[in-house]
Amino acid sequence: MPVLSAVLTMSPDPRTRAELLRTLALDPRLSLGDPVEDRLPLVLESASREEDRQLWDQVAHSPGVVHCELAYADFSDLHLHPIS
Amino acid sequence: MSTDRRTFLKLSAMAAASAAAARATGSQAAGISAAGISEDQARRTGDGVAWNKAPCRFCGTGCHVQVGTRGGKVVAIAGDQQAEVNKGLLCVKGYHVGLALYGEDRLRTPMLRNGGELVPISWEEAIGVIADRIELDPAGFAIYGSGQWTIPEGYANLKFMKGGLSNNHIDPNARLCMASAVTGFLATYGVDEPAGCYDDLDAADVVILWGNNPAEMHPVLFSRLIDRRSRGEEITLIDIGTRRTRSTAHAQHYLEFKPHSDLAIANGIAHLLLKNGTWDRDFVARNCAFRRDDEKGTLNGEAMSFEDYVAALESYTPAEVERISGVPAEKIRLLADLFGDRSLRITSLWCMGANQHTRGTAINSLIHGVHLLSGHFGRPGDAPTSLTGQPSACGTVREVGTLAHTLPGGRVVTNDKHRQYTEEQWRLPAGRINPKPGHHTVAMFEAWSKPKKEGGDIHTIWVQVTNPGQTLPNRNLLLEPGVKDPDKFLICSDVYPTATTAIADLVLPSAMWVEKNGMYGNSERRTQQWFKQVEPPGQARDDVWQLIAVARELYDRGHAGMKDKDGRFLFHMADAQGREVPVWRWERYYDINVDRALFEEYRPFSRLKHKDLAPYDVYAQARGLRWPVVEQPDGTWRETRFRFAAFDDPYVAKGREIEFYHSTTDDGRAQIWFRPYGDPPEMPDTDFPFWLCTGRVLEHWHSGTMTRRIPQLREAMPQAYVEMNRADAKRLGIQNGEQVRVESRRGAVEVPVWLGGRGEPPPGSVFVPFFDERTPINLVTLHLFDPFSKQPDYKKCAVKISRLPPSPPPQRPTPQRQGA
Repeated sequence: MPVLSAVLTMSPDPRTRAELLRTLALDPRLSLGDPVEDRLPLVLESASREEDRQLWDQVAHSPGVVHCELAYADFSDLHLHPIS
Repeated sequence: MSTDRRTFLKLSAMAAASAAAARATGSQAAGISAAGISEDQARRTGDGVAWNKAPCRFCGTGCHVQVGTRGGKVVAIAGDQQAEVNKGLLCVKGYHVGLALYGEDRLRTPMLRNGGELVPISWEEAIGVIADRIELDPAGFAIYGSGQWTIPEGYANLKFMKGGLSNNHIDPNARLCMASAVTGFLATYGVDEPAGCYDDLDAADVVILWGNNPAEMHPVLFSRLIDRRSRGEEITLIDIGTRRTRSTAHAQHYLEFKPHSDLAIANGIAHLLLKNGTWDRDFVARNCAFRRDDEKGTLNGEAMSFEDYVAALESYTPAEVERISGVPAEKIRLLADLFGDRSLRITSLWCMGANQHTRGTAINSLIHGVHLLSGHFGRPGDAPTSLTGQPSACGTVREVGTLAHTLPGGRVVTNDKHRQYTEEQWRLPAGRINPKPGHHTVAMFEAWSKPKKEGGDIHTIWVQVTNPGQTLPNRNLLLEPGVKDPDKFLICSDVYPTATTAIADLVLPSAMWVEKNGMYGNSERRTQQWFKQVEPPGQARDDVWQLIAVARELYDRGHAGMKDKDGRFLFHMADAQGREVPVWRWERYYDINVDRALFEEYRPFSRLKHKDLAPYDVYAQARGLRWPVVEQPDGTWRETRFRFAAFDDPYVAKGREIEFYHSTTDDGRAQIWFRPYGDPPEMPDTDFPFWLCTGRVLEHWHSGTMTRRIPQLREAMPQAYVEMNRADAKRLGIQNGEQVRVESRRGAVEVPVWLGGRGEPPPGSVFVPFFDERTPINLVTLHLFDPFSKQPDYKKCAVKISRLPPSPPPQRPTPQRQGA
């Protein structure tokens, strides 16, 4: 169950920005934070690493997203190769 | 996963993103810890994750991450909110950096080739084998290192070779990536590394990319420009390139030039500045002199008069530059008009496009020259800044000095005083250091791949933290003969099986990144430090330990070079009570902080070139500091953002606004070079009609040995490809995804064609990334190099593209948009 968070830089156009926020809010896998000027913090939750990648790609390609960067990633649920 | 833990993770993730958003916009984000998690949240959930800082393992940007560890493993990564470089944000590679530790096939035990197979052996045997190879003929032993060496690793290797073995055959892979930037800085300012820093990106009105694609290669830096635009600031972005890239998509002006003709463009700008009278007379009169190449071909060349400089540029009219470069004359005028406007702030960025160039020193010095001639220098936002591709190409290779001709702190082996000072610092007998430069990278591997009786004077190379089996140009010339020669021996210390371990005779498993202590120095003169946070797997051990263990083995065998003038071990280290600590024994290696001891020994070297470093413990508390770092009367340490400018650089003489205090002419002046355009050594012809350019992609770092083991990155970019222009593909009857043969006079690879992919080359050009060891494009590339920097040109050679007989459909790369 991957959890990661990102910061989106949103379009300066108010209508485009509003539509972006409306669209993102409809996806239950996304939790939107409070926008800071043109920046939108959000958390992406998914059921698998494959879905995680698809979701990330979908968000990054959404109309109104100018730029997208990562802020946090947890992978404690992954099977990591043993240390010894 | 329990609800509590999941809730905590979501809280943590949101806190990190909110803090990063606030930081990026200059707002406050109170109550957020370094990892973006409030102390209250952490206490409430009792998550048990410990957070510590480290610079990212990958590129030269130098982002800081917070590394979350639990149960001896890295379990989370967050952008570091306290880091000025990245302000809490990360690119897609940085986000996955923790997973780079956990590929299933990590090397775990030393292995020696026996009967063609690599067979596990003990560390004691492995150390003995290396010592045997050195004793065979110390002068024929070489070390090939890296811009991924930490600062202490590079310093220890340099001391071992030049101080211990009196042998200068040590060179790094950075020779292949930024050596021309070094010679460009040295020829212009008399001292290496950029005067400006990343702050320039926050102040520039115009940013010019000279053959550079930061949207993919330095995405976090590029995001600074995007952020400013999104806030409504006007920034003119100009992309001067040989193919359209993701950076082009953000540029107002794209100037597509014929490969190699960037020299003509720079000369064309200078021509117009002079013709239009828009060059900065006062700045030049006070701070600059003019220079051209001399007959001997020395780096410092010879002086030329202003009148001669003007005359030399006379032929570089906009029309002539258009003829040479293909860039329309009005675009050359546009560049000249921008440089001619002193009300603007202009930053130039470049990386491999200008460096991997058989005229790399020339184009580097011409970019500096355009800035100097126009006076766009020394104010925030006015800077010619080269970027590096590796995390410590600057800190280790350029500052420590792990090149074949250098000594620590900007010294060179050919200078008597430099050798004398170094011998004194290292407590060596006078005359220990060899005054003759060793082999640079291409010469080193040529000497290894040539039989001894034919003059091949290198019998053994110890490769550390790099992968020449995949990254050397023209591998069929530089590697294959040595692999087949039983007298030659290759040692490779690495973390995963690579194209180099596949041909190595001895393979040593290394600790990586936060499995060891480390220090890096990034592209903006920022020195960074981190502590070990998890254990390496199996028997993997620190690279510095491996070196010290070999040195001690030689010491125990009586090798005189491993003793200082008092008979002490070359790497003598003591605890706080002054008692020697046997750090050559692995179980005692962490009894003291070896990195700290090596760094403190190295630190005094940094002052000769005014690259002053702070004590180790200061870096332990910081997210890196930009040198010169100078102690203040109150005991604090102040970093320097803008060198040579009086408002910030403490070493500029009083009364001067700008002073180039390491001027090659000893008069405080920088050199404006004239360097003419000339055709490259290999150009497309009837037999090989395409230009080939090679490079990187966003998802994979360098030869992909780490990023290709991270499933998310591997899936996002599964294999190499060849980008072609659609018109060329149509003319040759090639379909998207079709497997083709890319062939030069040196070798060939077979890769699928990607039309309309990441980049868009013009007709007559193709691009192939080098991250995929299954399709090693460096079988094809050219090994010819710049005469000053000895850096090969990976950006242009002549190839042909051939269709293959029908076969099952290949897997085609899946285009993904990942950040930036």
